[in-house]
Amino acid sequence: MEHIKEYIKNNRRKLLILGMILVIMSIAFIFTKHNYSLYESPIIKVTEVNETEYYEFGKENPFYIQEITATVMNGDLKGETVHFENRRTTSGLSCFDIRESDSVIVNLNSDGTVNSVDNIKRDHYVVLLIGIFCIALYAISTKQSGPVLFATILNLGVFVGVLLLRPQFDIFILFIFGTILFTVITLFITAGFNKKSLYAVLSTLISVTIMIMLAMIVLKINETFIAFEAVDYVDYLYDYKSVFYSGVLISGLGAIMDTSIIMATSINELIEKDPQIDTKALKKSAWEIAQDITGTIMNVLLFSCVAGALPNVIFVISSGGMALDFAFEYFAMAEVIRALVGCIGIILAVPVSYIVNIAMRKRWAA
Amino acid sequence: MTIIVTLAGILFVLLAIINRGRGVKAFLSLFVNFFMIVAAVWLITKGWNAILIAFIFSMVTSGFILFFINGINSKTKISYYAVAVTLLLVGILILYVGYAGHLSGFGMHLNDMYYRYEPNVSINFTPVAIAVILIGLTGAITDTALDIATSLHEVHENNKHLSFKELIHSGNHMGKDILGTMINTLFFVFLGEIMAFILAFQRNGYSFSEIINEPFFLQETAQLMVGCLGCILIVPITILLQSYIYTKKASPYKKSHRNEPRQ
Repeated sequence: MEHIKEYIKNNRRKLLILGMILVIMSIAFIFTKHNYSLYESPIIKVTEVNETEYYEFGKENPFYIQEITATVMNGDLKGETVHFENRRTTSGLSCFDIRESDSVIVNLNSDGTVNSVDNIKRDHYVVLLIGIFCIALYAISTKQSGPVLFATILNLGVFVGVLLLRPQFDIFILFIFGTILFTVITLFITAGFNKKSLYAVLSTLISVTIMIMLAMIVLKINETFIAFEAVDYVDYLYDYKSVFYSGVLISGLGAIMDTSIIMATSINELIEKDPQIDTKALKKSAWEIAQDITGTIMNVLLFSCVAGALPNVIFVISSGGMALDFAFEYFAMAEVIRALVGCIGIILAVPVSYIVNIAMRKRWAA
Repeated sequence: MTIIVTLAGILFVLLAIINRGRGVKAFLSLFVNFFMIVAAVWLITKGWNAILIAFIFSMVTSGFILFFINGINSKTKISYYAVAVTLLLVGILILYVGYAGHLSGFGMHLNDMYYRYEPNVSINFTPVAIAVILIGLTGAITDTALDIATSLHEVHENNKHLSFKELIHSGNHMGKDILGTMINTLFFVFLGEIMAFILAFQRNGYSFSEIINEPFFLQETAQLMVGCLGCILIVPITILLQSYIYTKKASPYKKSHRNEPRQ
């Protein structure tokens, strides 16, 4: 008990701000959960679902008819009760799985009956996740959370900017400029406006340039073999090739920045601890550090990139009977390419960081 | 396939030149981890519970990354326990969001794919969506835990006298830097993933409310947010565990390992 009292006394300001963030995020969540009035389309809140199973001839897995009772939450028919039927599948795909207390966005007929279901309302979960993240981030790190969030918001701004300029320019070129902005924003804001960050920015940009040139050579030669984001978007994007290359460019950027700043910081530490350190020892230490970090960062990239493609792979194997290896080759190719190119960038960042840090220091010293 | 082989080849050459022995080991680890993802997918398609597979996968892969690549020592053992605990905590959140948010791993735009394939398969995809998020964050939390454990170990080695509280304080200091970079890494992968999705939505002037209710958007946001949350959670868990173990009364770690006489 004494420990807790002492902790509260010492960290009053931080706990106060944490409490404020908690309150703001809770309000945001509750507000989004009930923001029916902001929607143009009618939304209904489900009060009762009765399910019956049935089998269709020739189909292996059952379907379910859901008899749904719901209340309209916005618009002219607010407060009215509606009944309708919804069909769902065992897999949960190609249907809406509606449960009690869900909010569903629908199209209503003029007589108040449900025409069709548009979507299930889930915006409040996005807010919930972002809220929990902000709370946790501030709780763990008062000083860092501000810069990290600020840099992220600016980066999102750059991203939106690229989207807005898309009709006029080639999106890959736009993202090249975007990359420079991302790097400068992220590194200078999170690591401060100093020489260390500058070296990291330079290392990152040089590594990314070499990485993307290597990647483009390999990819452009074999362009006909690339499964561009598989079948998902090819119909919807007129510039799907450029979009793919932009994705390849951007995905590894965070990891490369990560590597560059750790290298710059470590070399900085080594030199500060011992200004007379000789080049050989410095190189050995720097390389040692690099080996520790690059191994694990590459795996981080692999996992987060490939995870996104897995539902597709699982689906076509269990549904169309596509073979495991072909399913991966077709549906996970884009992700694996992104991960591999990112890893190449990470490895390149090691010697590039070393050279940049040493060369720039020599210049300053001279 | 040629592309993958060429790119992997370039990566291998670079790793061999720059990181030599450890680099080749790292390359092999990528290979092995990818193979484990394939194995996990195969088991899920055979009907095994997706969430169970994801947990087993995480523990096996984390163990491989920690123990095979970095050896069995106090740092990796502590990291492993931290990963297990964090996985459970974060898993609860993902279970809730996955079911309440009706995730399926797919978005509305994929309805066209269903003309080619039968959508009503025997596997329910909400557990799959949850499993995918878990698989995605395994690497990130393992990396974070190991970074913290290594740094704190160095501090302890050089300052044996530090008490439980002081070690925790040190750990917090280092954790903050490491977190920032990890969040960035995950963020840009997130941008790369949603890029095609957002751009596809730009046509026909889709509204903001449609994007924010879109299941694929929630899926990717969940992957990013829960991944970052896992990294944030694992920092204090690792620090607490490590500080406790290092400062226990009869702890073998109180003796310095550096100056042990050669037998």
